[in-house]
Amino acid sequence: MGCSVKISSLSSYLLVLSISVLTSSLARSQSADDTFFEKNVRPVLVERCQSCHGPDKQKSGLRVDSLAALLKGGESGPALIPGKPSESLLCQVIDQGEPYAMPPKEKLRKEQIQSIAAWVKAGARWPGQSVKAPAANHEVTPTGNQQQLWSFQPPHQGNPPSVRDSSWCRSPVDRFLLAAVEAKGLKPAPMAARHLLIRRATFDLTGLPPTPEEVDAFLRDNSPTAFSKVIDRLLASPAYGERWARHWLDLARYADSNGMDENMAHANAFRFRDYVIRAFNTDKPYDQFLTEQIAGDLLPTDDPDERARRITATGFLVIGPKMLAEDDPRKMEMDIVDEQLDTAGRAFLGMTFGCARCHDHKFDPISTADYYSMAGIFKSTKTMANFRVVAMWNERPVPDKATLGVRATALQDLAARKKEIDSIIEKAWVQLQGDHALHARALAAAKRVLSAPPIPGSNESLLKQNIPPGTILLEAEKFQRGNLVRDYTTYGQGIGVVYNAGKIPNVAEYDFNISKDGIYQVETRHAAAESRPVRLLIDGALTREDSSSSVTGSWTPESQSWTVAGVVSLKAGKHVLKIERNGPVPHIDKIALTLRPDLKTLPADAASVARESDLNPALVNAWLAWLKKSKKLPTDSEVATIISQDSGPLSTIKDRELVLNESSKIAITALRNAMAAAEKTLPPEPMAMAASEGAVSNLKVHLRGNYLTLGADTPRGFPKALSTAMPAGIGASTSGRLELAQWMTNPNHPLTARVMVNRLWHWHFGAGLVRTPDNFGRLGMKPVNQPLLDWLAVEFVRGGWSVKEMHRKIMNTSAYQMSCAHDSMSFQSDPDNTLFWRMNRRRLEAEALRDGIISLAGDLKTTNGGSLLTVGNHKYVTSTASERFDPYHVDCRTVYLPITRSSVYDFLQAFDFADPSSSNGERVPTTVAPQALALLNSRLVEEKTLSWARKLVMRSDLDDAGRIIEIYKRAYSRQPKQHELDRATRFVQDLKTSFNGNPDEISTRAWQGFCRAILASSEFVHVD
Amino acid sequence: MSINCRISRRDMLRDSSTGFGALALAGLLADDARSASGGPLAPRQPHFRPKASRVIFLFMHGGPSHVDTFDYKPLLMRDDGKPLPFAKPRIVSSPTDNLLASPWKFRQYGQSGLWASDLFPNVAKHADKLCVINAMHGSNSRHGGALLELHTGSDTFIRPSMGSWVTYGLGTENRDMPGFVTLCPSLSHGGVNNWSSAFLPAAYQGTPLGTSSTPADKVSIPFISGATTRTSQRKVIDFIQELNQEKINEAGHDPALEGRIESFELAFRMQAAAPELQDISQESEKTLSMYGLDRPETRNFGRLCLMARRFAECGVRFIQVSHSYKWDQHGGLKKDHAKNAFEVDQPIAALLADLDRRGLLDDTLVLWGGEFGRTPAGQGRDGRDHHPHAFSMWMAGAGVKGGMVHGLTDDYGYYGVEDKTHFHDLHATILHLLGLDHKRLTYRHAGRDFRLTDVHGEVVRKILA
Repeated sequence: MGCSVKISSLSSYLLVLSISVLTSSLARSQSADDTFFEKNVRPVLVERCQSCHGPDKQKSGLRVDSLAALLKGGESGPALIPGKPSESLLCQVIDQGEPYAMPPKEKLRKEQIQSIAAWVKAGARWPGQSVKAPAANHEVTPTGNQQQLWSFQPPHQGNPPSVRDSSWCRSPVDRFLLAAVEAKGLKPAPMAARHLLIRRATFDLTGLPPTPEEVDAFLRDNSPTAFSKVIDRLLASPAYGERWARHWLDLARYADSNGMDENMAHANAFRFRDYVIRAFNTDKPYDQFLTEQIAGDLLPTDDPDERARRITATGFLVIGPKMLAEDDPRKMEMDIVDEQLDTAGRAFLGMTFGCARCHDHKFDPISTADYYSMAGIFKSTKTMANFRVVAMWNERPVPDKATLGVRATALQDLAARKKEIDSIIEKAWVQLQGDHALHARALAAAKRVLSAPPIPGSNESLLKQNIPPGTILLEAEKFQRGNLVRDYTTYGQGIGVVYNAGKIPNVAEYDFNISKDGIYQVETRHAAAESRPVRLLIDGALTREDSSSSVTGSWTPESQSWTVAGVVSLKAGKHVLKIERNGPVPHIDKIALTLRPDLKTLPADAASVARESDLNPALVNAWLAWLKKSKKLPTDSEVATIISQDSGPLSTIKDRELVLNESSKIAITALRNAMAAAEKTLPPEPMAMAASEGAVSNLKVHLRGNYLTLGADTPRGFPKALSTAMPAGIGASTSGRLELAQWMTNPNHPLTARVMVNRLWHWHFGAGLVRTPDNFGRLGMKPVNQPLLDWLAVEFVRGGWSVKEMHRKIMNTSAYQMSCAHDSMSFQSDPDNTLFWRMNRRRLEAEALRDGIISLAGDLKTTNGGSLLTVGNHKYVTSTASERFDPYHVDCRTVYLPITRSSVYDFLQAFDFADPSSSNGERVPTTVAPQALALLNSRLVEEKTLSWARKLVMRSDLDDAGRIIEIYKRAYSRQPKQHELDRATRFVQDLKTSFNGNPDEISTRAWQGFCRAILASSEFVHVD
Repeated sequence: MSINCRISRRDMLRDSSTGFGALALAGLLADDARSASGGPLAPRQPHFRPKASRVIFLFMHGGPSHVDTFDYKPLLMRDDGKPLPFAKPRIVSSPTDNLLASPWKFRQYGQSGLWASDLFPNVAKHADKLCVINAMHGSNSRHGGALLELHTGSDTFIRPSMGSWVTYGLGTENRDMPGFVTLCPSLSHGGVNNWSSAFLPAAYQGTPLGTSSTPADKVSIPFISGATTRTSQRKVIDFIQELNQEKINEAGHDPALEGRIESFELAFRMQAAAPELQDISQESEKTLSMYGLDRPETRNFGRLCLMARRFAECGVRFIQVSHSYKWDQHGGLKKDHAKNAFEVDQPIAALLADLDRRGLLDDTLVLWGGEFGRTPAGQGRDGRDHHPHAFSMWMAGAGVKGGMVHGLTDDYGYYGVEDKTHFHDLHATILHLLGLDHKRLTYRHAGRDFRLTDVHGEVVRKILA
């Protein structure tokens, strides 16, 4: 480091004793200040700060080599305020390390920190420099240069250029493409053979191989419209949506589990997947498709089915991967917002907005203010139900018309029964009011309670210190009979507790001996996070109905506490204590019976007296309350009058059901049971992962992406550099999602249509016109043929954003129908085929490969969507026990298999399935040994080749040559040549010698080997 | 077959590389690889001369307590039961109580006098080989976040794991084996993301052998064995290759088609090599017993350590061995930390001794640690909470100083006070030891150049030998 100022001697630091001493000394003279600065401040800044914040580097935009620079500050704002060290960022970061610690590696020494603080306090005098601060300016306005980014200019549809070989051109697409090829002096490849063409189109549009019948029909059709008829047939097939939805699902980072840290099942994500499949099959206009995924819930409709679909579409925002176990809920929320913004930006606009979270985008004209103005839209949207550890995402009911109908009928029925219950209660209540004899008994009981000693409080402190003599202490886990779970380990050594078993009722019985007659107080010690009252009986007599019912705060031992169950009189000898509950019990640790020689008579409470007198405790309690309140002791003859008063004992009863007579209780229980049964059969309301409007608010800029360091408020809105399609502002009461969607789908938006047509081209040709389909920014590649891209983009919007129409426009061309033929001259000039002088040979994607294999075996089943996930919603897909989850061996199309993040089906993973944790517009195909292993050894290939071979061997109409022809036609869409037929025959014969067993078995195994070879061959695995 | 992969043409070249121009060497290596496996896994020239050729990462999932293992804190012992005299972190996973002394005695070992607790008596015998890094820190107090941070550098987004970056940077040395293997990893807490290649090409992802619930003698590479016999499979492969060659002849130049031919040959060889590598029947009784295969407690992890040595010997670039999710003692610290340590102490000591004996420790970096440490304050009187603010890891072998402690925590082991090492620094240092500059090892994705260390990380130079 080139520093000219030497650090002053250590002794000068040692002279510095305290800030106050310094401050007063500094006040003395300016020259003393300057000396202090040169000795104690400047050297530290030079030595320890300027290598990152000086003339060479300005990390975070900050320099510390002049006063002006410090006053101006960096991205986090001014670095110092003269006179105010405690408010100066410089002093904060070097001392407390908040909001970040500087220098990052090693803290300054204490006396250095104090010196700088003292200098700031004394007014931050910098010799030769004045204290006037330049205005801080964080607003980034796009410069002219940035605005010239090609993709930020609206597309312009030019006239198709003239070409030399106009006979080659079937459409404007061809003219644009050929012009570029010819300009390089190249010639397009010849047209593909017809069997290859139909194989290409079928795999391309449906992800399946064509059947031999389909191939034959096409080969026989000599009309000029033969191929466009094939395209129309394929586009009309449901298999089309199952194929093309998958492309979109890559972009939507679709998954049936969260992945990340806590891999919880997204049991309702499949509805979003099925929505996407349907959207493609019904050719939902792309602008509508986009809008529904961002703000479908905000689009009005009276059709319940349509409403359900639109809400489901917003699953796009909710299905992303999230850190669900994050102790800092604000960080969790902002990370989720960031993920949503980044995914939407990438999928719809080909922009990497995430880069602007911490600093202005280094390459594209997106500022942090732009980022937070868009982030505010997602912050104002509810996509999470909570931010707890482990957090839960937002779900919304999406009943269709049919479900709504069935539910409405059932709910009506339930309401009728509820009414019946109410009328029973009403009737019983009237009867109770008139039953004066009953009230007289209750009054007598209440009088008795008043005169008896009260049930004593807990002996807790006594039991904690030393157990009183004569106490019977029962360890809850040491029961003699029962079905509770004994747990000695969960809570640590020596702490045994019981809790519920599976079978109801939960019960435990304890035998104990009493050596002395007497009055005993019964107490239990338990921990419970929710109330679980248990019945406690001694020698079969109920001591308490709701023992251990208190909520102590948790299930763990820290919150264990004692509660009194009752006081009983016991004779010396053997006794049995029993606890039982029709449900889970609290975590009971101990039960104690302490001798109470101080009590002469048994204490009583309303419950015990009511039990003895066969009365309803609630009724006794009501009278007791009335007696206490009125301070009267009425006689039986006064009962009728008292009952009829508005402030009588019955007025204290909140829940009338508590005092019902037995017959009413029985009738109500029967009705309730019937209702519960009916509720169980009620079709559940289907739920979808979906967004709703949240608490609407703007966000402030988060300096360096940190919510602890906030900058200016940013009104919700859109990037300034993309103002060509700017809608009116966002209302104060709406999140702005609908406006966001409207902004993106504005026909003048320079990115939306371009990005999508480029994606379509990419999926058809294996490469885009812009070779970076997810990045249309400065770091992305420029289009090789922008006139063609723009022509397509404008056509797309003009055609009402119809995706199927674009397929037709792209496929009904010579461009699409070229062969993959190698041409050494063209290859030398354009090895990567950026100009599309030929069709790219493509390896089947994982899904097409799997579906193709199952389809050749004749086993592929059609389905109507739904879920194959075997794990409940928000339950761990991969538990900590790390059991592999394996629901993949079914014969449906791959798009319907569960996609579990962190544990993607290994066959898909081997063949470059896109990482479902991030938005992906392209899959990079690799050629690696694990793929060969999968084709040789996987259960899928083993089972499907066997299934295919069995069917072939059973075909009595075919000889061996016929079998080979059949296999070739299905796998390759062509007849074998003679030498292929001969070679295959020899191979099968030879392979038979490798197996033992009966002739059928040998034959099957040999044909299986042949099928395996065909499936593993490049001709099957690649599409020409 | 006795495995002796160490003496190969490549090693001879490397060992005598002073006599070759570096470029010539790289060329030869690349040639060799192209003819063997080609493509993305071909060995690549590091940025500078490496100290280490491979890494063995012994991962203690759950978070072993630093103050009970390698970070000796006498004042914590003295102030047992007293409150922590300064503030606890703003964000914690669970509330904790007062300070809890370590139940284990600490002793000094070796020439260096390195401190270690009685949990690791056997590893401690190698004190003079260990470089203990105290004051390690991360930022996430939950297992999932911390695992992802440790393995990928990010607890916010899915990023490539360090093993993937290493394989991406250096390729693989062994033509018959994957370059990055992970033995018995947990599928929880990030699962495959901890060994995934994320946006790097799939070829760089780790190959899992088993999961945490697979016994060590049952682990294998996915799809490595099928239902068919080797002879009949060879016939099938020969036929496939004939079809594929014919396709190439017809199509003209196409690297993908050519790569397929090689991939089948490599697969066929891998099927033979991998089971042989895992077959320990030729190891001596003495070796087996050294690794603890003769005791039920140490048998499983011992076998994994022995496999790690065999993989290292055969040039696998990055080998992770997981002791899965056992170290999370919120309660039962005394019993379960002792049990966990017992399961791994002898096998790890044996691995160090064995690597050393074979000269492999010279160019193999061994790394030990968990996703975080545990709070010096107790949860009750027999447990500790997660603690990402300061904890211990250690390195041994290629390029690092032995018998050294780097980094200092405060009197109670709560926060780092000197020479703090963040996960990013750890990653930068590992790459440095492998001859890779963490700032230059980049991959362009979604509009920017990504690094394992993002925009952070400094090489911990003080520990370099």
